Amino acid sequence: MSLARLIERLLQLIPVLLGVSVIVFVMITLTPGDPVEIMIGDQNITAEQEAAMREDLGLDRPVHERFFLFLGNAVQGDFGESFYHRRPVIDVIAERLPATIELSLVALIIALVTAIPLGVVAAIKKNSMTDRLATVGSLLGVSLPGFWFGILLLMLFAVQLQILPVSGRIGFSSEIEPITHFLLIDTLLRGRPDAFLDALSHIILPAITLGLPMTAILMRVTRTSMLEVMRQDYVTFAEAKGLRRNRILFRHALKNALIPTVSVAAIETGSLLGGNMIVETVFGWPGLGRLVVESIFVRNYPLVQAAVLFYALTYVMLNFLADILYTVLNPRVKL
Amino acid sequence: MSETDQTYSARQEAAIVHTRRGWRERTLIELRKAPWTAWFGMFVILCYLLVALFAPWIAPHGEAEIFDTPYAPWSAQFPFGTDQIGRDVLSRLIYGARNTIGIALATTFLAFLIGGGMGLMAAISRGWVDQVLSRLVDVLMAIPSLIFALMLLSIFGASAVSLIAIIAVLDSTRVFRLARAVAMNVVVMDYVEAARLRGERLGWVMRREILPNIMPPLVAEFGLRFCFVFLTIAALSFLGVGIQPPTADWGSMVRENAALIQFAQYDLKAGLTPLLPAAAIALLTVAVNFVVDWFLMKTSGLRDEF
Repeated sequence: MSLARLIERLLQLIPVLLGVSVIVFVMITLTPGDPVEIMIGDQNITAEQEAAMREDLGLDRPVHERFFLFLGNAVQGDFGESFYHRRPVIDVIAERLPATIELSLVALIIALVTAIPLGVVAAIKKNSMTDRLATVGSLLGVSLPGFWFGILLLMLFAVQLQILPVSGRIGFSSEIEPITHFLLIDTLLRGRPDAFLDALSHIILPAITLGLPMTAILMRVTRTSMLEVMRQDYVTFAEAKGLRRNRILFRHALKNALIPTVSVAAIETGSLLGGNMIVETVFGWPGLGRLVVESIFVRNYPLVQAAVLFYALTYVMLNFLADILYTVLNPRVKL
Repeated sequence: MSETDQTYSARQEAAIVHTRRGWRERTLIELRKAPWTAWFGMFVILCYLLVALFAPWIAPHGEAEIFDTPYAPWSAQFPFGTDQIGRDVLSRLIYGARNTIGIALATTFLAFLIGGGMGLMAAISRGWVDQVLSRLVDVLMAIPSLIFALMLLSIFGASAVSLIAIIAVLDSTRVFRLARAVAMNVVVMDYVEAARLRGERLGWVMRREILPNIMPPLVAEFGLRFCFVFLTIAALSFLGVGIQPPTADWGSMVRENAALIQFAQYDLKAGLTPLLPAAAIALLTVAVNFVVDWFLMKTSGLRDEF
């Protein structure tokens, strides 16, 4: 892909993001319920104090002015102050983000290491018992509601067997000074293997729950594309040359069969980020998803705006990345 | 060589009467060839529909009828016990079928009406109409739909009507993409050109020339979308903004009874109660998937297997 084409594709993302920010802003303006009143709650304060609060938060200005202010600041990375935390929104999000990214990455890894071997085995031994089981399993994987599977796992491992913790990211006794804010890495950097195991035991159930639908989808994609590749002439030719079966499978077939898997994985990672609200709620995971759900309920506008823009940005970037990966892995495809 | 081979006549062959089978007969033949998975799927869907339709006659107790003992154990009077405020779980499961399936079906229909209509329009008109609609869909799809739905529900309030409208609009984006893509292939056909040159109106061309030719993928998508809508509603109810109490629905039932799980070590049955509504969701989704798989294989040869 030429550099000019790459830049052109990148520029095409701008109108989408602009559209998203307009929609988010309009919707939040339409939302009934006054954030100032919610913040005041039962406290007794004077009308002047209330007006001052309103002015402080910029809520006294006309709508269009607020939008351009929001947009201008957003471009500079300034999303205003979170009504609740009284701190810049970007800081609050940055604080929660590592937990969400860590969870998503572990879920992605789980999905990849289970889906690819399963898909390959299902394709090689087509219509065998393994294949049937894998197919039915993948069907169940996309059919089960995420929260149900999560609750089921909680019930089995945390309540019945009591070998894994019920919620949170890490136990009190294992808390450490953060370096990268990714607990699995930090605990190792600090030389605390016990804390690492603790963090691992917290992340494993939510990560499996989050990764399950993705595992199911990736398995199906891998199986289909592996079957497709195995019918290609060059595989037949490799067989005719007398190459060993494993060599054909891994050097000739798998390499090409993984192209669709990789690009689907890139796209699905976007939905992983968007779909973790449920999982984070079930497992009490202190990530961005839960923060957004809570913020919508208390009408914390600036935070919701910033978070939705962040999600949209991630979504379009991952799609962009999937396109690029596709052309890199498969040079015959031109964008 | 036998005699019959030499006495071939074209007239004779043309004279063989081709029986034209009625749709009922054709359906029966197709059904007989259906694999057991499809049969299983259809059977499950039929059962669900019957339960949904006749809920008030099947359910042993009322939907919101409250009894004295909350969290009652499984018994003859309450086959699956009672929930946190003493309502019969079985009855609520049965009414839940009606509410959840009804709303999901209505939502999917609406989504197809909007998305399908817009998709066809974009494919036929091309030009700026297509550009505007496609970019709008790009924007809508970039926002995670669960967050979007949550925001819209907090604007319009969580009633059944707004739930249906909001999820239908959000889901219509996917339908739009599919309808537009498949219609694009049909729009360039000569017979569509002919119809337009004849001076047929846009609606007529859409309905009579294009729609019949893109039906199979749309019908299959309908099944899958239905499952997706179903899971979205369940997720929203689980977060507490979907179908509102005291209306029974499976998503909120999981949430309301989740506390029972901790009793699993004392009374396994009680611990299983919160899993029943979710199992009901999963079973229906699997059933629809089975039927869709069979339908896809039959109509277009599209299938995972080769």
